[in-house]
Amino acid sequence: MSTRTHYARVSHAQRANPIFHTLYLSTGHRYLPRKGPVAFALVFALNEELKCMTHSPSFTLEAVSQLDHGALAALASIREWKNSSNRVNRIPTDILSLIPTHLPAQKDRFHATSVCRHWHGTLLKHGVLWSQLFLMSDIIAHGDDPAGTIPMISPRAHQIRYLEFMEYSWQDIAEFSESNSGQLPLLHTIKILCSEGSHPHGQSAVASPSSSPYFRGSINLEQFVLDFAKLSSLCHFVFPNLTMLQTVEREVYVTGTRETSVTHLRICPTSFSWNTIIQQYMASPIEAVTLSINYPWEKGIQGFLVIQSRTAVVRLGFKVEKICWDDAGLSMSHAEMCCQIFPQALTTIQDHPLLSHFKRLELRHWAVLESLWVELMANKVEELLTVLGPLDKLTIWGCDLRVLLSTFLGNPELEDLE
Amino acid sequence: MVLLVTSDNKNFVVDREVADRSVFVKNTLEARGLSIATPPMLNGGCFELTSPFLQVLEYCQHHRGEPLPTTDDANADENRKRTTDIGEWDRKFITVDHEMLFEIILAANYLDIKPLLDVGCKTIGNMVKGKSPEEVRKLFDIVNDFTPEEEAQIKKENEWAEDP
Repeated sequence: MSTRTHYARVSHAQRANPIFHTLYLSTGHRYLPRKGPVAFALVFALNEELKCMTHSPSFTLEAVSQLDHGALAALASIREWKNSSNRVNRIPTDILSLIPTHLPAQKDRFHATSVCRHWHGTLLKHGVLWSQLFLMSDIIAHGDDPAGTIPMISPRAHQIRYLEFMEYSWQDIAEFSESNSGQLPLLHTIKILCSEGSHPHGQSAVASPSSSPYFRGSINLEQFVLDFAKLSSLCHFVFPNLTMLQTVEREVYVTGTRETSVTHLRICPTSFSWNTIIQQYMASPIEAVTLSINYPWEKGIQGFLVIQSRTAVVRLGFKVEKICWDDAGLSMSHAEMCCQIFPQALTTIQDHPLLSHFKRLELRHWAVLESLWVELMANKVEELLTVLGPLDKLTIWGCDLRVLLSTFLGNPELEDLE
Repeated sequence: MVLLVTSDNKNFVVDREVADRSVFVKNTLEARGLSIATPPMLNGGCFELTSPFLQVLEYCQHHRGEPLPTTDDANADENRKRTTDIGEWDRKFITVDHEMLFEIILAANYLDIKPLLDVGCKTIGNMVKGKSPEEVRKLFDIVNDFTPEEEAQIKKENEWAEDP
């Protein structure tokens, strides 16, 4: 293969490659034939510009080092050229870029970008790779790291559709927001799941609103989930087109032994009330309020007051979580925790006139409960109904609530029992 | 019946219902009022067209009569992309060597047969799933064309995307 023939196959993009430019500057064609195999490899790979060199650098250790660097770069380009004739790389780029859509794991999607230059360039350009991001802690926590997430993601921020922060520090979220202000037109969902423990500066940084709202460029954001210890942090966000807000005030049900006590289970925060949230986020009149208790996991249970209007949904969450250092404490049942939610929910509903539309109750996905707790829950529900009046709809899923059912079946006001 | 002529001048007579699985052929026939369509050369004639075309025909015949996906149904499109499941028949159909797989994908793309294109892309996705970059290279006979510096940089950049 002649040099000329080979050069004809070097693409315009390759010729414009800065690596070639480096090589061009750091070597001279007069040296190449005397430098053995590496030089010959370079001859095959270099573009025509190399031949146009009219001057040669002085032969120094630095020049040799540059030559070595240039040789690696040239070798990489030769391999890139070789890959370009590979069958899989002859698939049009718009099809190749669809591959990440069939890779559910983020890890796999980014592994695919590391296969070769062609895949790297093609997949990085495509929005699918960036449309759903799950950011874990310790990613941008090291903000001074040049390879941190912010510099990595920022050029692609306009392609993000779904953004989830897991266990991030508040400072990192603020930093991410600041770096990407005005760049998130496609973003429709933000989920922030962070614990107070991850807050590096204590509560003060959260309590005082920033000069401008976070993620202010997310003008099309529809769903916002904030699972954070302090509801007051909501004051950092303003989303004009929000249709779903979900927020949970994280409260911990601490137990060390079987003789447990609720140390702090609080639903209505004093500094930033549910009412404020409802008034801020519900643009149109409330049509229905549902108490939905579900999402049990090993150590806790979560419930939501779901407030619906024609255009928006606000989900205010109650989370009860056990922190046990003693295995014996784990014997506490979901029902027991659940029973702590009912009276608090009742108080919340009664305290806020806007919630007088309470008409629905959902109890979902419970494990099989001991009859004692079923009975207790039935009493709690009945208590709720006595105060609030009849329901439009009762939904009970996946649990043995015969006692509970017998209580409700005697209630003629129920219209829907699933 | 429709006469389809491949770029290597092989003739295929198929039912209109089968030919209509290809949006390209369907639109061509409808626009010109013809019953003969000549699929374009897929890659400049460098490799045989008849072989993948036979595969594509087999696919179209099997799926004849099924509703064609509509381009304006964005949700369906998203759902279609997200899932990596492939139907039993399609899975057997697409169990071919790499070369044929890529040619089927090229043909499906050019002939605009979205469901087949999906099956092809999902198959590649399933092949790539759970593999390291080096394993993917080995799978597709790709050589590592990054410089050591580029590789280190990419590795560093992708660290955050690794599972915790």
